Amino acid sequence: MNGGGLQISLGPKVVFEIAGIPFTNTLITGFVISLIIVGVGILISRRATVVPGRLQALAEMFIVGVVGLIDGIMPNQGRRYLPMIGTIFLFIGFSNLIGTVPFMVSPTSDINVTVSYAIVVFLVSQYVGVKSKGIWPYIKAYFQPVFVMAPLNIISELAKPVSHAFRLFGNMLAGAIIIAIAMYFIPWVIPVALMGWFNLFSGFIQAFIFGILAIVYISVQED
Amino acid sequence: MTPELIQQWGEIIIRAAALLGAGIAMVAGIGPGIGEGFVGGKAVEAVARQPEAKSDIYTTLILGDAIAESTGIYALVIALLLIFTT
Repeated sequence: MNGGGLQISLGPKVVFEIAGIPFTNTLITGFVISLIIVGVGILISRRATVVPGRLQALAEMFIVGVVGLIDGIMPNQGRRYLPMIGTIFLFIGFSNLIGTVPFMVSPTSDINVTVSYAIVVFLVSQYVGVKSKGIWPYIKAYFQPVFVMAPLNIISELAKPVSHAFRLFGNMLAGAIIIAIAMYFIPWVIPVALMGWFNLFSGFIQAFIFGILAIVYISVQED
Repeated sequence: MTPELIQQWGEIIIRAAALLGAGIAMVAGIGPGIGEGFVGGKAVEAVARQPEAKSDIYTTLILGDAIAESTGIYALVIALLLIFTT
């Protein structure tokens, strides 16, 4: 859209290319976030003590919270799915929060990021379904209650990752666009309040929802 | 009419139709509004009846909101595509 000075773009911007591989701004931000999370994780686990310090207490609170959340939906499976679900919470939470930093773009407002996360959750849920039920009961589940329902069941299964990805993408992109429009009209004070709402509150809620839905999609397959 | 003028008119009509379509697509915002209002109201009722189950109700409330919201988000994505890609 080219209306005056209002610059809004839907996709990520290519910053530079190395050997024909484009590096977009969301990709670089994603790498930075991953490095920060990994670095803080290594820092905390190296200095782990019986009596936790401040940072370690925070990490322990997070892990206990996530395990409790998974246990609430899938009894006694919390420890098993903690690495995956915890990573989803951490990365998406950080990505949504980083939009408040000036000139930084949330990686979650790029559809490639959200779709890749949704595909990972989809593949894991199908794998869990095959493993817990066995291959024949898993295929048979698509032909419930009658044979004719098979296409509908398959479409409803494929709609899950699509809605999963588009929910996060749509929310974060809508926030970014509304902030950009507000900045064009009122450059002072108001965008700060909007950033607080869209990136801090809504971003936190969306990361929570993404994680909870990932748990629910896996638990639906595991029966 | 010259061919250039016809082409120009065609582009204007396509752009106008896309913007109109984006506006019409966002009528879908009514559904999630009603749905989330229902979810929130029922959650308040549930908390008033059983304040000790607050955390469970909160998790279910957020999940229900997310599911109710998805149609609105689809409409939003379609509207954004119509505005920014035509």
